[in-house]
Amino acid sequence: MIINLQKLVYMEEHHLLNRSLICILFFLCVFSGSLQLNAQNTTINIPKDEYISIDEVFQLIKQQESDFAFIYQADLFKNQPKVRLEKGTVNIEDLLSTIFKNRNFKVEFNNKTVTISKVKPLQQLMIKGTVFDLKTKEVIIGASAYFKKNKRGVSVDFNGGFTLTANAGDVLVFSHINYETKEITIDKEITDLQIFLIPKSFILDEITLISDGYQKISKERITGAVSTIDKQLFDQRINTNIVDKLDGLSTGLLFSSNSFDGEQKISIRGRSTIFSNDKPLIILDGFPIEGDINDINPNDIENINILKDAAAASIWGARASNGVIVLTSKKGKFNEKTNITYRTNVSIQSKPDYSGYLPVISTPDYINIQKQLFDLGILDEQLNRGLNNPIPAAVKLFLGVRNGTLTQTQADTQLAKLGTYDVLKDYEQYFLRSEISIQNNLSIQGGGEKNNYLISLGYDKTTESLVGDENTRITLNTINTLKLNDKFTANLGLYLTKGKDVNNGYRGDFGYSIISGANPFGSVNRAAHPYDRLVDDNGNPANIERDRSSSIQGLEDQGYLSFDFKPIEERKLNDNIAEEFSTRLRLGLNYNINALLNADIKLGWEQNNSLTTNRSDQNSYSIRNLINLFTVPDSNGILRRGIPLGDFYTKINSSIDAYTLRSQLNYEQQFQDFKHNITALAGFEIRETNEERYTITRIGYNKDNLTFAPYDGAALLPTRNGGRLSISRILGEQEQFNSFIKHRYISTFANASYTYLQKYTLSGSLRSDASDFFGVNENQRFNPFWSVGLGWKLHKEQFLESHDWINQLNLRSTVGVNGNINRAATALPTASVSGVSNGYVQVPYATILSPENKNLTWERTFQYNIGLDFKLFNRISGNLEYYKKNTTDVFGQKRINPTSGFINFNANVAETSTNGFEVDISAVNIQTNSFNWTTNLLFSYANDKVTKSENRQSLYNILNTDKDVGSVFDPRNAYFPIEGKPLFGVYAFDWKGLNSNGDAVLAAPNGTEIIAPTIDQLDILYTSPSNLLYLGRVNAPYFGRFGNTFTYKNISLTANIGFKLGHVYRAQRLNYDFHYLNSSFGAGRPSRDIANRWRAPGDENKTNIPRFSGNRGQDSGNSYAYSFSNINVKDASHVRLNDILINYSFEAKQLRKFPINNLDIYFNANNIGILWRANKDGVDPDYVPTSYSLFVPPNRFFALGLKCSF
Amino acid sequence: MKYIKFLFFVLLFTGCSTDEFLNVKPANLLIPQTLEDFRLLLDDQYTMNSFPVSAFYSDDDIHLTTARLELLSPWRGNLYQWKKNIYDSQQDVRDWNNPYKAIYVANTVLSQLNSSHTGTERNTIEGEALFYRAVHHYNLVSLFAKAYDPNTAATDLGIPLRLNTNIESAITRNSIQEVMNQVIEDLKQAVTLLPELPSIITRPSKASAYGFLARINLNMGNYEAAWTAADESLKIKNELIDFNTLEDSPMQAPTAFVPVHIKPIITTENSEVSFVAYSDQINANIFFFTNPELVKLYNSNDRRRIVYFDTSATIDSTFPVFAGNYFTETNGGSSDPSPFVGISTNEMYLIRAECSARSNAISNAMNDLNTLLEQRYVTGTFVDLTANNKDEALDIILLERRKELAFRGLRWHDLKRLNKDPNRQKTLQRIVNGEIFSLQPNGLRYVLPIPLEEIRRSGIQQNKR
Repeated sequence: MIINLQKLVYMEEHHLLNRSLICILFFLCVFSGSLQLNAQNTTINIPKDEYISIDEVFQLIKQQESDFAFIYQADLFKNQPKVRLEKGTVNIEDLLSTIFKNRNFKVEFNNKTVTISKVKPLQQLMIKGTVFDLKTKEVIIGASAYFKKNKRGVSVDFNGGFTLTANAGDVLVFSHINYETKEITIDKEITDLQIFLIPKSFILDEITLISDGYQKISKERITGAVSTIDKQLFDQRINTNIVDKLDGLSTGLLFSSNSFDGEQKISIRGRSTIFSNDKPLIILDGFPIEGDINDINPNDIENINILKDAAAASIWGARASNGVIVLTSKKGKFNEKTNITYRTNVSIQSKPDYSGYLPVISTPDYINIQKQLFDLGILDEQLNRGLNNPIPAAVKLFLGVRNGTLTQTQADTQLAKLGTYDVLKDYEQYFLRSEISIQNNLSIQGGGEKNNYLISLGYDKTTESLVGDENTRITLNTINTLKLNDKFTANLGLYLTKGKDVNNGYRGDFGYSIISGANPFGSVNRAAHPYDRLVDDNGNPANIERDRSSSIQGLEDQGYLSFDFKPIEERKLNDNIAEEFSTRLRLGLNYNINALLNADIKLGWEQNNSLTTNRSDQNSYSIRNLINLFTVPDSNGILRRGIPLGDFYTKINSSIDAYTLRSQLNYEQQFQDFKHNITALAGFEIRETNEERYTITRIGYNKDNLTFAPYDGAALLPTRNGGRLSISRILGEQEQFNSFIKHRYISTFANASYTYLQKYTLSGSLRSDASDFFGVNENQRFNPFWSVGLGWKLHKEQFLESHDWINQLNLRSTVGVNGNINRAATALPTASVSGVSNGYVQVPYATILSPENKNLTWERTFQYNIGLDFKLFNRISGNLEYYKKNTTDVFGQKRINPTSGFINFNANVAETSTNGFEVDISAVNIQTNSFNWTTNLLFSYANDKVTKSENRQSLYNILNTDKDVGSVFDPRNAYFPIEGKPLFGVYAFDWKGLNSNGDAVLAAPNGTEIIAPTIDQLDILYTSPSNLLYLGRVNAPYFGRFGNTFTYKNISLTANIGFKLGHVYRAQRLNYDFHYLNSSFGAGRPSRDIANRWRAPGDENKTNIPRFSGNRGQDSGNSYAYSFSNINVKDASHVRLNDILINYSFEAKQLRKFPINNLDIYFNANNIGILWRANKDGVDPDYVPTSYSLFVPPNRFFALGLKCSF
Repeated sequence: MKYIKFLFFVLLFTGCSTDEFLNVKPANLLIPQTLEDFRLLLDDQYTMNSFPVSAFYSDDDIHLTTARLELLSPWRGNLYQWKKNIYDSQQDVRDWNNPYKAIYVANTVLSQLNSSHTGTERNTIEGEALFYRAVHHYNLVSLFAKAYDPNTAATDLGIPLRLNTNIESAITRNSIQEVMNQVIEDLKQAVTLLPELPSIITRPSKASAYGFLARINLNMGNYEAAWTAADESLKIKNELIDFNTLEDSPMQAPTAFVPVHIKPIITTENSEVSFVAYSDQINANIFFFTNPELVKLYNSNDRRRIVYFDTSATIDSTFPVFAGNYFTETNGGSSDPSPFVGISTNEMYLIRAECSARSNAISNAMNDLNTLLEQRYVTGTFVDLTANNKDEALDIILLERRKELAFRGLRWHDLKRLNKDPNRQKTLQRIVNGEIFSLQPNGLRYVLPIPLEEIRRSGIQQNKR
């Protein structure tokens, strides 16, 4: 049957439909297999060679296969040439496809029904337009417009106009010898197309626009020192934290982890302050981040610039003296196709190796020391005092022998068994696991003529190494830009973060610490001994005694709660969740006043809320213990509980919010064909930040029916041991504000740059900051900061233009002033108000904080920078920087005679000076079609020193100047500037060995030797730092990265080697003063060095570890002298293999079958290892170990990721 | 669109009064300016009512074993052993620094007071500031200078007087006489400004200002003035507690870990107290250990033996433990006890008795003493004490003074002043680790060394020890 339709039916291929069809097919094929046509297997017999029309072919088929039907328009083949058939058997489908090949027909099979239609010829679209110069807005005569596919086209006329007809999907190219080529894709008729071409001379230099948070400046006009982070490396690194990802990616940016709190500290070009804020300012989309940088998903970041010198950073004024990190979010672009990108990765890091890395004493050595203490009678006082502290297991055995209840042999057997245990290893086994982290990110971006948009959704989850801890982060980022009309452009950015930290890992309580603990006495801080166990022989949770057994005997029978402490069970008894929610809103409105001038209003609003709820279960040791403490028998002997049974519950509500309103005028103009180029901006901003923290504490909480027990926190309740105590004293007030702070700032700013002949640039900036800076006299509220810069493009000079190998040579120099503020410093006397006191009487009161200081001014950093950008042979590029900065009026604690009422007060006490240079070189070593090898070297040198300091330091302070890991002192308070020396100098005694008694011998400043000194003797003897040996600095003066990237076809491999050179570290301290360890400073497991101590004459030739005598003053002095002597200061230089990044990009042709445009698979290996180190102790100088803190290098980290876009 | 444009330009040029905008005040910080602010500062009991502690370690009422000394920070042991150097390089010597901090607070209040402050509260505030400035200066001079001697006081080195808030001004040591003059002048002025009794027990009043005038004049040997002041104080407040109504001392001595009883003798309800002050930084490990010689002085019917001391001696059986009048809720959350060193009526009775005796008014003297002691003995067991002459009366009164005011921070200063009288001198002795330490009457070591940090910073003259 042949059906000829009279009515025209077009089966028109539709581009978009087809695309979606492919997509659907792609998914369908998974389920339904392939679609088959029956025609495929049916053959006909062609009886003879003949020459027939298409209609006749159909009839031929119909004759043999009568159930075939052909549907087509009646006269469809009227003018078609005949078909030549050859004798034989042929597959029908093959026959038909051969016939219609190269004809404008479309053949569709539906079972045995064949539909043939004519393909509509491509529509001819009329394109009319004009070509303009982007800068001058004048028409470009002589430009050409042509089709990319066949290079056919037209030249524009004298009015810059052109007319063409094109097919949809054609790519039209506009070019001119002096302009950058531009392509557009035609999708509809346009009769008023305006094409703006960018002048070539312009584009050659203007590779990048650098954002400083206020404006985007072309790189060529920047005279200051700005590092732009290698985005590829940044993206390939897998880490949920933006700042951590920057390690090694910029010169001048030093990461140091050797700090008290274990936090990564970053500094840009050394430290120019002492006690004030030392953190670089971090800007996101034009506004400082007040909340947590961890709220920002690194995947949302488009680019990162680091403003290092005064000119670059001066626009940020009073907050810029530590440098500025400018983050810019990804955005959609106008006239951009919708682009969907999905990234996911998973990483794994094995658990920290505490027992392997920390220099803690072994259990047998510990028992040995404990035996010595016992034999010397040092423990007797504690044992006989009738105090509540438990007797350590080993000491019980010693006592048994002494009392005759145990034989020496029995005791030795049991001691040997104790010696095989190690609580630290138990801890690792039962409390730690590998850390696994998963990141997901989906983003959609695109734009039309009038608007563009980006929506990005992130979900990250980390299961942390401490059992019970995990955190998740969900981020939603949307940025929309809308052209309201010719004049107005509005943009709206909204960044939402929801984080949830589950902190149920067991961290100890009430001074108890499984790991750090190890003191043999166990006094205020009851701590585990190395031989304590977390699991008994049968694998059950073991009890660690917290009370002396005699003091709690029979109490449980009376009705007291259990006194057992089983850490393994404690793991499940916490319910601590911190939820954070942050919102960042950016609202911008730009008004184009005219071609030269536009105005900006920007509003930045940020709100961070966090809600922490901690529930301590009634069955946890700490709560049982507290309930027991307040359980007292009444006069009838019946137990009365001062604290009801139930859980303890605290809720901490904190919020930080900030808003900024900024108004800004931008101006840009060229004269006389780029001879003169001026850009300028001026504006002002107001800013307010608020911080609030509020805590609620409840007891007797029942989590099932959500009830609390009422209580009077201030009431003095009787305690088990005959005392009285209030609950608030232990738990704090039931409800209280922990902080409530508001700050306000007003700034005015302006900057301008003028470029002459596109060669010479002069730039300048001015900013004045005012704040509510409490207590400062009003005339000091405003502070002007300024900068001036010069740039010279040498490669454009005639004398260099002839040298082809010089592609770029750009000399820059700047000078300027930044500032820093310190809120602790006030010109007027201030006092802090406290709520109700816990004293004799409960009344509110105020404590004087700081005295009057009328001379106070702001810290000012004057910085000079000279830089050179170069590109040679088109292969080697980079820059060199040299800088010098002097900070004056550095705040510090100025010591004063105590009759003033103060020991010290905040004043402008010091001056510091830093100079340094930075080298950033990239070289393309090999470049072939399939193989590339590039090398990147970042090398920084920063030499800081204190040039003036009004302080005279005590020995103790000087020795603590270095950031002492595990120190009980906050390093911020331990920086004691010494004139002529680096801020973090390391000083030491001159060690002369041990004498034949095993006592320390030092070379004294007066030329004699001092033997077995006490700490006080040393303090009096060493009156000035010049008496001590200066051994170097804590922060590496030389550091950098050496990276190599190899690309072979689709695969690339990058290896980054990081190095830090020229600094020193102080090895862990030896502390023989067990009384000290016992005191409220906290207990520590002794150092393993103790095992090598001097024991008998002659040992002094083998060891430097002094004897342990049992005499407190002597032992403290000996261990102090040893710890702070030069033999304990080691070279910290090292080179490490930081990370290896492997990336495989699939080629487009490999992906043709999939609806994916790009697909990258990448692999990261981090913390791979130290390649070379100067010290011979196996110490990672970035993580100097001590026996009393859990500070170890991060383990190797492996991650696998995938990125695809649609 | 016009609307947007309008709004845009309004926003663009939004300015505001910068001073007004910037005048935000942190909620928990203040620049003291108003009477309310001064009230808050003067109510900082952790500063204003915290008195030095060094005297406690040096007198003959405390007894420490070698083992206990080992548990102490060195400066405390040094005080106990009357060593040449006490504080060594310690920078925060609280006994020197805190009084000066309190003086700074007082001076801040005094310098900020102006004509806008009026009314009774102004007088109270000014009186309190003068009171604190006086007593803290006095506490300093009594520790860091020789005992007052009218013949040499004009040239004896006292301590630097701080009378303004200029922290960087140069200082020298004023003579003892100058210090005492200033102290008495400040107190006398305070008396005219303060209310009779305090509204809150930690605040100064007429009663306690007279109390200090009595204490100070007694130390200076101005017995007439001391009598008058004690009398004025007792006129305002003369209650005594019947010790038969008090609990015995706790049976279990406190440890560092366990909070201790607050005995009624120093609580806010205590009817004898007119001003609370305490000595901070006593170490719980030692404070309780009493010289057995002291405990032996109490008659078996004397309730003070049981109220003040734990003689059941569950710890260190040889030494009784003082458990009487202290207080544990101290600054910083330490549970170390803080002994009471404020003003109470029992001290006033004793001062008036002593001064009466010294002016030969024997019966007046014994009357005052017996009035006090009657409240201390088991009901019905007390027999009035009598004296036949001045010396006998003084012997009895001074002994009762020691017994009544044990661990009140007064003993050391009593030793110092009584050493001036050749008949009442006492040589103190300690045995530590087999080594004998002794302190001769009027010995140089009765004067504490000025902390090294002070000498380094201000260059003032050190005491000879």
